[in-house]
Amino acid sequence: MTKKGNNTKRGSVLIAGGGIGGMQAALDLADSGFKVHMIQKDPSIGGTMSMLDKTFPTGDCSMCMISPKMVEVGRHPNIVLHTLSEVTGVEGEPGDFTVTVHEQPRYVDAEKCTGCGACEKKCPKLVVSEFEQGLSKRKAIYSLLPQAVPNTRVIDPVNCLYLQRGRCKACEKFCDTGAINFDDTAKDYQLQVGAIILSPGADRYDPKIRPELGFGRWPNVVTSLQFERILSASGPFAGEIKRPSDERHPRKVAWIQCVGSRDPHNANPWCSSVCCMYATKQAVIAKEHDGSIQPTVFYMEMRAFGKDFDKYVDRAKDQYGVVYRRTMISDVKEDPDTGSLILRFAAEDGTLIEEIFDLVVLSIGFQPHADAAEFARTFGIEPNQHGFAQTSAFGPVETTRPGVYVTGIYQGPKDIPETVAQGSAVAGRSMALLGEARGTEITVQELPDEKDVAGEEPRIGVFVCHCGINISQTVDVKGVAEEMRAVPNVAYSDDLMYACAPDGQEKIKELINEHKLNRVIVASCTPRTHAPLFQDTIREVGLNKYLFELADIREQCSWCHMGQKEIATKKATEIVKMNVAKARYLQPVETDSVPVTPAAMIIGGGVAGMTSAIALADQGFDIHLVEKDDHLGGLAGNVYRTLDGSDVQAFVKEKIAAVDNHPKISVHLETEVATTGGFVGGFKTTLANGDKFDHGAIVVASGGVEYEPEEYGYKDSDRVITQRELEKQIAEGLDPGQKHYLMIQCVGSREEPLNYCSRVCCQDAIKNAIAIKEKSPSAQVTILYRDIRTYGLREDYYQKAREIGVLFVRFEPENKPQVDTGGDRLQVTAFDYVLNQNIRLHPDVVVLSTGLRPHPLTEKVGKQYKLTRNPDGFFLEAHVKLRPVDFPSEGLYVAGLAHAPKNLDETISQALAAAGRAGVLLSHDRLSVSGIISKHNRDICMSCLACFRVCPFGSPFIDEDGKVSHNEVICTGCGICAGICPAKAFQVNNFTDQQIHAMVDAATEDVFEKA
Amino acid sequence: MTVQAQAAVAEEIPSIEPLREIPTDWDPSILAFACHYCAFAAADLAGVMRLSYAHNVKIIRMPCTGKLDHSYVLRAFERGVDGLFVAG
Amino acid sequence: MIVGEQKPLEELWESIKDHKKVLVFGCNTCVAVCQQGGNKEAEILASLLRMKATQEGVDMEIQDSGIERQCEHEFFEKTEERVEWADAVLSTACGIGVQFMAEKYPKPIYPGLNTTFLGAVEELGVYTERCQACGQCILAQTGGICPIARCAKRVMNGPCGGSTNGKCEISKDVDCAWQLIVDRLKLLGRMDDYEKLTPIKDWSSDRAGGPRKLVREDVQHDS
Repeated sequence: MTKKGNNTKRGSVLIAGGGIGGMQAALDLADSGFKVHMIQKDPSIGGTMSMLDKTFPTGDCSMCMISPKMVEVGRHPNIVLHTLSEVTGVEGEPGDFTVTVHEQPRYVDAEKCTGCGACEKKCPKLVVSEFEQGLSKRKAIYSLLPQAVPNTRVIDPVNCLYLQRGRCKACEKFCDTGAINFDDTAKDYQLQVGAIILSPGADRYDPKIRPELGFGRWPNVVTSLQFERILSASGPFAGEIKRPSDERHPRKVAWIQCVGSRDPHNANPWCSSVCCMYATKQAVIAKEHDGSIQPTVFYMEMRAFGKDFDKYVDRAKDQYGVVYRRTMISDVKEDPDTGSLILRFAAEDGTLIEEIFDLVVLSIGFQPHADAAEFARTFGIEPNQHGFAQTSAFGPVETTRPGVYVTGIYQGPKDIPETVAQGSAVAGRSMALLGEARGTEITVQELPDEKDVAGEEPRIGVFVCHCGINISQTVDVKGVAEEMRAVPNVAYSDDLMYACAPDGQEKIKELINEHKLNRVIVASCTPRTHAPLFQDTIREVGLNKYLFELADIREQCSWCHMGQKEIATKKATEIVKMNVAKARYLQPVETDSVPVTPAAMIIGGGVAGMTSAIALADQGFDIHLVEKDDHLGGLAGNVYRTLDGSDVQAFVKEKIAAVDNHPKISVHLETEVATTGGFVGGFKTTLANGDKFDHGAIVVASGGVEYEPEEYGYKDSDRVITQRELEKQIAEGLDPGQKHYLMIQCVGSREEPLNYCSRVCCQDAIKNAIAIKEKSPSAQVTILYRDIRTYGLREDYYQKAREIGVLFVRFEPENKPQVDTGGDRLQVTAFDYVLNQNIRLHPDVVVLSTGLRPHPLTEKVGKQYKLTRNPDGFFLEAHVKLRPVDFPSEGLYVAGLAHAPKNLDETISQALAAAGRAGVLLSHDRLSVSGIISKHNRDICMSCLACFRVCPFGSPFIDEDGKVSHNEVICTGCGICAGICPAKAFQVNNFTDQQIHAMVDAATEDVFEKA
Repeated sequence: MTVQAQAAVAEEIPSIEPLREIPTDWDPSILAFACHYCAFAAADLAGVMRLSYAHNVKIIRMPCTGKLDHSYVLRAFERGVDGLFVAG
Repeated sequence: MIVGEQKPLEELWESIKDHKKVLVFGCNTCVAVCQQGGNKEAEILASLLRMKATQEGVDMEIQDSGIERQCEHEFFEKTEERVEWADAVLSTACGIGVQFMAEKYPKPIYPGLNTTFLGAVEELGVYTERCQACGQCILAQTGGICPIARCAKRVMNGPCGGSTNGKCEISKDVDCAWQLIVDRLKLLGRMDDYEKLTPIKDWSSDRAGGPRKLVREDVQHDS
């Protein structure tokens, strides 16, 4: 990082937008020593992803994935949430910006509000719910979603009876903590930050603009986002699939694709990138919810370009019976008798068909927010012609204003993992910019020494929370507290109005001291959100964090047994008793820490590896870049231009020079890793050439190779070439004698045994086709394709290619084009689905769009570091949605083609993301090991290797003595080892056999006595 | 006989007990082992949504259902639970 | 390693059902590694049998314990009391452990396992036979692959006519040991050895010569 004079940089970053991309950036930055201000227009963070039911292609529950992240952001000591806020002005320069924020009044005091929700229940005003997409109602005082963060209700002033008409105040009357503040006012204030990240997300196309589709007119025409809510277990129909008009279960459901996308006349010209897949996912999930549903997807082109997406679509067709029809729907009519919808469309053979559906889902696309132009002006950045943030192929997360970065859909339509990757990428860019200011603005709390409770008889304190009336109206909390006093080892038991409120916490601390408590149980809400809070509380008075248990008697008792006071009280008593039983055996857990070597090794010197190397070196870390070839550059060395015409060769040269000249980067050419020992934070590597070094992280960017075609006469004729060879010809000057170029797509892709889309070939073909037409307008270019997958803003170039006369002819894999290289002229025969007959073409050159394969090194690296790969040989990330560049094993990250085929800008984003993630790790002097880990007793272990074989993280290992040892640093505490161990040599802290047995015994006290 | 064949004989499934009459006042005791990250979260969500279900289910939180040990299951049955629900 | 396989619960129940105090006794070495008879399995088995007893309405006590190895005297000392307490012991050791224990205690010692073979752990849960302890190792001649343990017919000069595509006629899933031997000798460049006829094997070192005993005077200790 180059330092500019005495210019002091700020150790804080402002993030505008609290969706998944912004949250990822916030967590990465805050975890690595930066203060984060998160600005969010809505009353809660969460963004678009929090509205989704499930995500493709794994079918994971969206809320289950995002809610822990939201909670983490909400309680991170270094993240300040500014909800109901917007930025109104930005002054200054990179490293030192002054940002003006306008914050709307919430009318609810977050300090006093406990999130109990009593106010909401009493509010008489019903308002259409934005979050539920108009399918249900909310109150005027509300929370955006049940899992809202911050969990503070908000008054919607436009609909509040008191604020509008001066009467009501029901919420105030029923709030026990006096949190309602009708005098709250808007505030304007300034924040000083070093960098700015824009993650405002995007809006969705309003399908009312196309009245022929009937949205807003026919009740059973819904948007895809409405259908997400219909599918959602927390949605308006509690996950039952019903249609809005009569709440009947629909049988036949149609999806209409590209509503608002790929349509320059009525809507937006770009492709929204995600609709093909979400429609497929919705069809599959709908079928899973209700097997009698018959889904049909009407589409133009199936853009399943992502990792494992084609396989998912195949599964939808073959296993779920989803019908795909390649045809456009021009209008939707309602049958007034049934409320069902009549769709007219042309079949493959041209005949017109009418089909009736019970429900129609419009797959609406993304578009920038209505105020996008204003937003760009406020931040002083240039938008592109479509209103998204302007970025470049080589700088995908940099806006036109230095120090202002962009992530997510505001940079262009994209899916969740790419958004998350960009979140880590912008975090990495900010870290590089502000490097030396790291740690200057964060708060570190001073804590008293821990009390030694070893050998002490357990003295358990039980605090039963009323949670306003949330618990106490269903559970007799005083009764529960009373009963606990008689339980052995309970030294104190009482009820509390709000255990989590500041006064409640103070009281707990006082009582711990007064009664010399050495184990604490709070019986209130879920440990998932509140245990960390109480753990901090008891730590403040010197008790080890792990001497705490939270008994969940709200979510898992009072809220699900409402109106059954006796039963709920009995159950609550049992739940608390189970936790008391466990608490007797709770032991303090020492959280260990290990030193971190501030250096990284990067495997692979292609664009991904070089980008990661420079990004990490700019953060101040030492980098070892290991490349097996005698030069850097990788596959991009053979690419000349990007789709938008940028000069790839110049870019690669520039990167190589930057790597070579960087004082922090050591390049190791013509060698490979021989061995790597150690673990996260402290790896020790020896290369095949004998070089040795220590490093804390590893970025695997081992790249890919291009498929070498066997088919279509490539081996037989010089006139059959690949896109890469054509690209070279274009760069060096085309032979003017070549008048007709014919390109064949999906060569070696999207077919068994390698049934995946190589993602880059459509753009490659269109890029080269445009270049040919621009250089020689009279030349004819024909592209034989299966689906043109110019996703996102790349669609502009597909549009352009068609406009300048490139011919597109579709083929099906069952009926592939035939290339005859035998005669004087090449002859290509293909079946034309528009003409419904075979056509014969005589091109001068046949160009094969060959796919990408993982580099052969991938297998070796995979074995070396125990990294799993998908059936196609690409590395599997830790989580396909939310951890796109992490490996399950800590300290290892992936970027580029080693992960999956992708375009150059995506490789760069991902490489920056890997650098961001690695930067978070390397920024720590020491790495603290989680307390909830498996403890290995080597004395009773018989080294049977069961644990070694089943551990997904590789933490048990064969040590120098040839016996099994356990590396606690990379253990996640899942306890799979403990479950399989025949010697019982593993126990998970806080989940020991003794503790669980005690809980089982307490839970079965009743039945056991009866027996 | 080969080892495989012996094993096949050994694996013959014993006859399943006939279903017994369920007394009308039967109140089964059910214990659930739930993963902290998913099923336990789902149980929380059920509460957040105020979904009502039978009271006679108690949940023991696990760091992962991979942590489940034979002894937990057997101990619970021995002590008289009627059903176990392992979710993760 | 000795590989064993737990007997069906019904069979085990039949053997212990008439006793009042039963100890299920694990052996924490070989059979623990194959997850059939270690102390943990003994605990599981005891629990299952207790439930069986309850179901059958039989009033009996069943406890579990175990030691490192049931084929050595000294390990038993720590658990003497538990064994004394029991009317009968269900040992989950291999056949060696069961017999060894029976020699020590004048009470019924029932086997919990069928001792199956001497084998390797190919992967978790997959064990394959490699050796039959014939007492006269010929692996040096056969490229390290034992035709006695791995050829169904124990042919010494194979393969026989039942070898098809490298598989044995008894099952398509069983490799022909002699095919493996030939492949291995080729790999080692020792096909000449294949041409040499192996004479008739002297089975006296196998258990055809009666139960075997090995005494090593050099490590024996007067006590």
